[in-house]
Amino acid sequence: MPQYAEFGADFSITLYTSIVILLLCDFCVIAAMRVAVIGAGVIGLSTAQSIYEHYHEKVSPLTIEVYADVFTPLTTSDGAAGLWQPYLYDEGNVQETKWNKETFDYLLSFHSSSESVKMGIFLQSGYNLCTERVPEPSFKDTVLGFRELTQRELDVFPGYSYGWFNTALMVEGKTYLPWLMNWLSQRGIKFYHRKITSFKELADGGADVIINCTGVRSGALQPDPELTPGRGQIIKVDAPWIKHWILTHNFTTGVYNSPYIIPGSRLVTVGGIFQRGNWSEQDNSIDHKKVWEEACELEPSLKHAQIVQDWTGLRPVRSKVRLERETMRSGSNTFEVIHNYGHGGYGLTIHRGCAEEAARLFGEILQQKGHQTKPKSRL
Amino acid sequence: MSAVKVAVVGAGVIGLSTAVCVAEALPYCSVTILSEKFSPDTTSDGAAGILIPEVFPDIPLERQRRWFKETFNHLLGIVGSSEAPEAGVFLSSGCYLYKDVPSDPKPYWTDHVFGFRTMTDQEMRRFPDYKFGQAFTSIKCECLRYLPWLEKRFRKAGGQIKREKVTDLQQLISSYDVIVNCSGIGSRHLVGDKGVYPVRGQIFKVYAPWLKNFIIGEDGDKMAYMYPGIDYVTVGGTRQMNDWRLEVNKGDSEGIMERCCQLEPSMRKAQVLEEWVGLRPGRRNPRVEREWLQAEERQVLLVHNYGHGGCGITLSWGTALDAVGLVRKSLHEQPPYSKL
Repeated sequence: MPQYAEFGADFSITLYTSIVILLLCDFCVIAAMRVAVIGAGVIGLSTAQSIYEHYHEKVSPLTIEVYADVFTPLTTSDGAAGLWQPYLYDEGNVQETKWNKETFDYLLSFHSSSESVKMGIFLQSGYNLCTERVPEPSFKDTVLGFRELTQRELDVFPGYSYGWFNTALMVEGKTYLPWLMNWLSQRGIKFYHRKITSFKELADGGADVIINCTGVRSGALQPDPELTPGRGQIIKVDAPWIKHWILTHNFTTGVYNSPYIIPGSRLVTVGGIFQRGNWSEQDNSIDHKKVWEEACELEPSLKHAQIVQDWTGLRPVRSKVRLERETMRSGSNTFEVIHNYGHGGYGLTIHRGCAEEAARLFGEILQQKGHQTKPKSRL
Repeated sequence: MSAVKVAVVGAGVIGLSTAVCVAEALPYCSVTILSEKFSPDTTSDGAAGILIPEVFPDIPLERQRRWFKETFNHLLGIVGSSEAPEAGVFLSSGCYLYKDVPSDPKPYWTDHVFGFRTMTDQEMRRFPDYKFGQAFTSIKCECLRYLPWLEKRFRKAGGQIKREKVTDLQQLISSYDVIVNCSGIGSRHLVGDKGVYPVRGQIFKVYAPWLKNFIIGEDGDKMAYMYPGIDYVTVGGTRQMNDWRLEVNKGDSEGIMERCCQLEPSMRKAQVLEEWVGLRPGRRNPRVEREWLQAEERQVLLVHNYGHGGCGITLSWGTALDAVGLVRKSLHEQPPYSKL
């Protein structure tokens, strides 16, 4: 092998060097990897971040590219109110509860840092209101200061007889996504404004691993009968005297079909619509009326507040998050896909836990490809 | 029978609250507010307005409890109505932190605010310099909005307003049957009460709309507090006894900002809008009591309602109702002579 070095060709030097280094170093990987992330909502961007964090030193060069048809401020994540709160019950899905908690703890660690404002992170307390006594939610030990509401507090919300108070985190998409994009672009991640029509398209273009973070429109790349839109319509209101989020729960009408009021850093998000299977991204005046009337009944101080705008978004609803690998073929080549979609109404809530898990799956791919790499252990 | 003429001196939160209570509760009274200053130039206007009382040494606890409870419940009624934004009244949650366990960890008012509890270890991790913390939900009442709202209510009840400085109560005795003295720090000179002294407070008004919960850090005389409001966060503060200086002091500014940024690092990114100084009308106890002034052929009832220190807004409605009670009782016992 050393005889190739005499010719000084780039290729042979590279090959010589690679072999020497491979022989010498268990932990080094010298092989270009191209990762294509599809989707630039919170899931796509945070997954790109986790993969970079764990592997940029171990894979050289690690090329990460993000492809999306929409970027902030036009993604689904941008319209979300930004309250960290999972659905009340995980119904046995302990994996998701773990990812939710991981996300909360991760965001909380940034809260006291100088980055918090730039990341769009802040603490806010609030009320979960129910019409009957129900079991405690999955997140009770994750959030801060969780407790039952007293009768005098419940008297402030006529019609609700039971509930909880806690302090949770807010992570506002409109600020967090630009922060993530900036973080990524500073580290050489490139963004492409392009609608991807097939995984094959990217594989043929040289991508070794594709991360599928296409949210509600994942079905266009690969049919998924479990994925359905959960249409939401919200009203943004100027009501800066409201300092608590208020979520009501109605177990008959189902999650998010009951009024909720979530103050952001500038405007208050008022909502209460969750329509499964409705693909319309148009604001609907009947939905507007329902949201507004129910919110004003819940919080009379809203009656004279100024309405700023309506917004409609499609939550990527699925029985559970699809976070798994899939090996695909394009002609004689195989390529790897990591699916990370279907986060319903809790994308911001769960994003970091899922991104870290996707990074772990990426590490598995590297190992299987015969690379001598050990992913960083998760503390 | 002609109306009983009532003069209310002072148009801060105490004066306006008392005037409204008299005008609404005693329809046989015609009420006039006389004041040099009105909102936004009163002491009340700069106060953050969070309902948290001090405990006064000489007033029976039951009376103090009634003052606080009545104010809290009155404002709670507004919180739950569509008038809340106009009145500037809303629920506010937060925490009170201590470097040492306080001598009285459960003062009377802890029963009346919402959800009062000791903070968990997880919550205290944010504040490594503090040993002990309590969390609760109270009400914030912003006088920049509340005073004009009260004034509207006062006029609706038939009240009159005169913008004039009262330098001597004797000026008023020929024209009024009842004087209600709500002159705050002004009582030191107006009624010669040397027990009234200024407690100087300096604050920043800061734009930090991401701060939703109040934080109070208790560390001897070094106060640190942040009260998120409708348009800005009130960041303070100082408690300087017998200090009449109304100008902003740079040393105080630096101290306040340093202590508050320690508690809440995100405040380093906040934009300072303004600085302000107010003189709390300090007194050992608030004075809510009556006396009679001798006029030529009659006696004029003088009801005092001043000296609330840093608890003006906190006790405003309760002390106003107390003052009205004194007026009603006195008029019943001793109706004013009808003028010939």
